[in-house]
Amino acid sequence: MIPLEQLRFAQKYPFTKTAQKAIKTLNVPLNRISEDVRERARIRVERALLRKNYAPRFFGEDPELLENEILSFPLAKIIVSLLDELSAMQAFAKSVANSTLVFLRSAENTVEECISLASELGLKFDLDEEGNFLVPLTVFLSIPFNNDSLKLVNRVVENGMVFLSTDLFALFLSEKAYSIVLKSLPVKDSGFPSWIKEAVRVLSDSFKKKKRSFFKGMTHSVKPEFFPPCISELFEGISSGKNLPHIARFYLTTFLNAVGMPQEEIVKLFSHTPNYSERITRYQVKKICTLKGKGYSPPTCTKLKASGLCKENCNVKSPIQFYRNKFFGSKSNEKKSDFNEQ
Amino acid sequence: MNSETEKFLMQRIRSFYASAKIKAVPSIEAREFGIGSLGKKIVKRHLSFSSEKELNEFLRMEAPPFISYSNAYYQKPSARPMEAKGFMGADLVYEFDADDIPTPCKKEHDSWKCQSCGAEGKGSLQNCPECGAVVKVKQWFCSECLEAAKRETLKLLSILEKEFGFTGLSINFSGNAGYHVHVRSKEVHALPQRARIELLDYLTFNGFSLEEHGFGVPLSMGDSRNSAVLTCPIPSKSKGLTARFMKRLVSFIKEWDTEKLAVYGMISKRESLFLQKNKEKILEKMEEGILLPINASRPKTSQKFWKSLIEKALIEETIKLNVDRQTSVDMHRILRMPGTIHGSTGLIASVVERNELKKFNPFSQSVVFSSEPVKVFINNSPEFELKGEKFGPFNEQQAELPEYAAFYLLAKGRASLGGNGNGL
Ligand code: SF4
Ligand SMILES: [Zn+2]
Ligand SMILES: [Zn+2]
Repeated sequence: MIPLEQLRFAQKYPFTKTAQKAIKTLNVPLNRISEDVRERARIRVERALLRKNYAPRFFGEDPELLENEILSFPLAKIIVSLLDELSAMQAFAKSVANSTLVFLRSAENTVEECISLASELGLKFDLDEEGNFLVPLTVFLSIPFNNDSLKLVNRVVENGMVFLSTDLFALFLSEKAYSIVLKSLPVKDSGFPSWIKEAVRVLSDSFKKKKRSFFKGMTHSVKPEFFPPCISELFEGISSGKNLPHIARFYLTTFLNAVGMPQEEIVKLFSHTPNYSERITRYQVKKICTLKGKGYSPPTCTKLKASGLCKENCNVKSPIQFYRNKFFGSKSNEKKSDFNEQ
Repeated sequence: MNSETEKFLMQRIRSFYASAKIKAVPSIEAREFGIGSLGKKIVKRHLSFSSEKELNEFLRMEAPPFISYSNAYYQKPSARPMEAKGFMGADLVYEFDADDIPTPCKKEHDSWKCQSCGAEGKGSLQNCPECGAVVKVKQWFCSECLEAAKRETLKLLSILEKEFGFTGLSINFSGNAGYHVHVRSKEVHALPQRARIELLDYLTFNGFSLEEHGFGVPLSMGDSRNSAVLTCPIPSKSKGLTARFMKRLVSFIKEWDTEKLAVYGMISKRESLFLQKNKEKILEKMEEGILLPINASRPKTSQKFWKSLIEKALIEETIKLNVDRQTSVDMHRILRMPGTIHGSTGLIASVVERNELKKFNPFSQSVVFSSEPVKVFINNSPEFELKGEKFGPFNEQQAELPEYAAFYLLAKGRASLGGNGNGL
């Protein structure tokens, strides 16, 4: 029997060691998973893909509900992995991060809740008299985050410590949850039962319909630091007013459009070039960026090599892939599923 | 560069390395090296040395005008391509280049020429004011330029130490136009590129938000757009970066320069004078966390004024660091090996102790060549000072200079050997 407190914790924070231990203890092989757990897992994934919140709260004392909820997490991970889409995995990780934040902030004592989660995750931190959490700078920076409130430039840093209010510390923990979950995906396919694949097929169809292009709608700013050498050269050339050949301008524009740079900014970029005409540039950029609604596809490395614009062998198929890898940190290898493999 | 000039420069470099003993960088065996020729800073990369001795032997043999090392640590630093090297981590590196800092002396010693329309003039600019094409700039770095780079370096060091809490800092003159700061402590080696960008954004105020730092509208005031009174962080209780710009804000208000304000603050002279009279009160209120309005009946103007004052006058002008963006996020860069020659000046990329940086003068302490007289023909050169002695300005003339000054102009391509100017 797992103590109720631990079950509760595992249910709220399914990416922790406590949750993994609980799953081991419950010892349910994949082929004997109950209908209820399957359904919960499916809903988890569906909510994640729809970018809707998933943070069920259990007030009763029924351990079975909690257990099912805990078991549904590794199953959901399998389903997400089988969708085989980076954006699906990200959406899933994001939904876990969101629910983590909800649970932390709505806990009876948020400070204590944060302390137990942080300790469980092995994060180094300190508390000062004013109730700030102090996180060592390098620990703070080891987690990739997307939230502007956590941007270092907007935080107090002193003596190598980043000062975070309880609210922000909770946010920080939720970003940590995001990276833990994303890193644990995709789960290796060790011959999953056919009912999983069926669930995946249904989800995948509806997901594909909804899915928009990779970077669209993301609220990040374009990061030139992540451009591959070929694009960097063109980008810097244009920014410093070099007169680039037509094909180079074309490729650069399609690339910038694909990574989400607004058209206006692209137009501005060209304003340094000799013989710049705002009217013509705006017209051309618009044409390139809006063909069939999403613009011309950005070039592959093969195309760039053919035009002599390739600078280095980056081991990718296209500059977009290069950018994406940098942006999200390259995808590590597949991980083992949390279920006991029997 | 003519062959006689080239021969002279190469000989001098060779003679330097014949007797010099260059100190290895930490973990030399894990670093990639690259060397350059007189015209080009990097012609060969993927070199590696197992020890200080091996490095010095190489320098004696090859006497390269430039040698650079990687900020990264590799299992096999000479392997190629990049992926085969086995990346193990990288130092953090910050570079300040006088190039990136707009100093007033640039008007004196820099000049530009437009290759499309032929226009030319003094100073440093990017685009031709006549036709808009990119111009070619002839740069020069004087001691004022380098002092500016040094001031930035000192500001950076204080942030790295006091705010980031970094140890293991090593500073060196770049040999030409600026300074490099290497953070070599173990804890930074594993920082991913994203983290390096975060640090850089912090130093350059990229993504900075006043609201996140505690500026805003008091919660009890209701509609935010109509509040003239703003909240602010309490100067004496602020920490870190907030404390830095609050300190600036306080001293700015104390000094209260009406002229300057008209430029940055977008307020009328009348309002500014009104505020000048009330500055004691403003400072007092700031200690209560309140930023008084400049005009209570025009809240938007007031909000705009404070925002623009802090962001433009304080942060843009004085607090934000002009650090080279690319260097500080790149984990596979090679940069000047400390202690070695910079082939376009003949100056040494001297390592400078932290407590000696303030009074360090590269134009005397980084000079290594002798005072033997050398006859050169000088195309043109602004006045410059080396080893405490003034030279120039020169224009199309012959001169006899001490070897170190001759090397300096020859390497910069401002002069040549071979008697009169015909050999050019
Ligand atoms: S390999 Fe591809 S991404 Fe890399 S420089 Fe060449 S074209 Fe660009
Ligand atoms: Zn011109
Ligand atoms: Zn100068």
